[in-house]
Amino acid sequence: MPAALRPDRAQRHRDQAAAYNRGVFINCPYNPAYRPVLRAIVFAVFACNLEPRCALQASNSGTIRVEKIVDLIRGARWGIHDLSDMRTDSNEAPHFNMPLEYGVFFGAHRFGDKHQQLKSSLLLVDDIDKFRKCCSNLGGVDPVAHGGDPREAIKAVRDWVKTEMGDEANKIDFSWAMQDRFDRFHRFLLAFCAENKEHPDNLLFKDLCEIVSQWLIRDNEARSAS
Amino acid sequence: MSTLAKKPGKPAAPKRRHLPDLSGPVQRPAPGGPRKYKAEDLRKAVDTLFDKLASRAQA
Repeated sequence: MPAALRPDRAQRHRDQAAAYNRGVFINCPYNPAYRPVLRAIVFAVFACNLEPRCALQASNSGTIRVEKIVDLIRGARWGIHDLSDMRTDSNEAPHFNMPLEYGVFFGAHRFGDKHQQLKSSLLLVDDIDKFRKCCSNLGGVDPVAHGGDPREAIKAVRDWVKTEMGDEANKIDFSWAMQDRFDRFHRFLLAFCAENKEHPDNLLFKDLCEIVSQWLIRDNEARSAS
Repeated sequence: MSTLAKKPGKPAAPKRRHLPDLSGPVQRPAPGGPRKYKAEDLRKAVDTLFDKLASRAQA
């Protein structure tokens, strides 16, 4: 390949670093009851100018699931870990996937290279006291309880990014403004799904991301025009 | 009428007479399968509905 056509290696590294710094690994339950909170998290991530990633987005059945998850964790500086669904009080077996993925993320942060050591985690739980009993070794970590409320999840994500991000954090909305914006988006999403004969809970993760990001582009345009 | 075009090559979904009941239970399990829509079509559909709702709000 002629040198002029060869991709610039330094540029490729810069692109990879930018993608890593924008990436948010979402580690959460995928059951229908959790969907409203997942939609709120995806919205808040995009509204903070970051990019959500989750195991639902890759459907390559040829890849071992845990490898896929490790790749997603490797490529994301930010991690949102929702450990609220660790029920043991029903006949269903408890789900250990979320604590496992949090452990992989924690390990990458602890033992990884200089880029991996920039990782930042947000721990979401349903009830803080219950979490302390379940996972006493994480005594120094401060989880945030959302109680299953999407607006609380938005505030948690927004406040975390605002605290952890550098200069770019100045562009992030106040939490009440982001919550109100999410309410407007959610009304739009219901209208969109009704028009296209879909149920919001049945939207694929990638499709939801596309809808959220395009709505935010249009809403930003409308805000700057007014 | 739907503003969203299905991916070419896939059979068209059967037409339903009524809109789905959004308050009802979810009919399918957690979605992680192949995409039903093209990203470009989704963006266009969002633009169309956004403009429609904006003009309705102004009227």
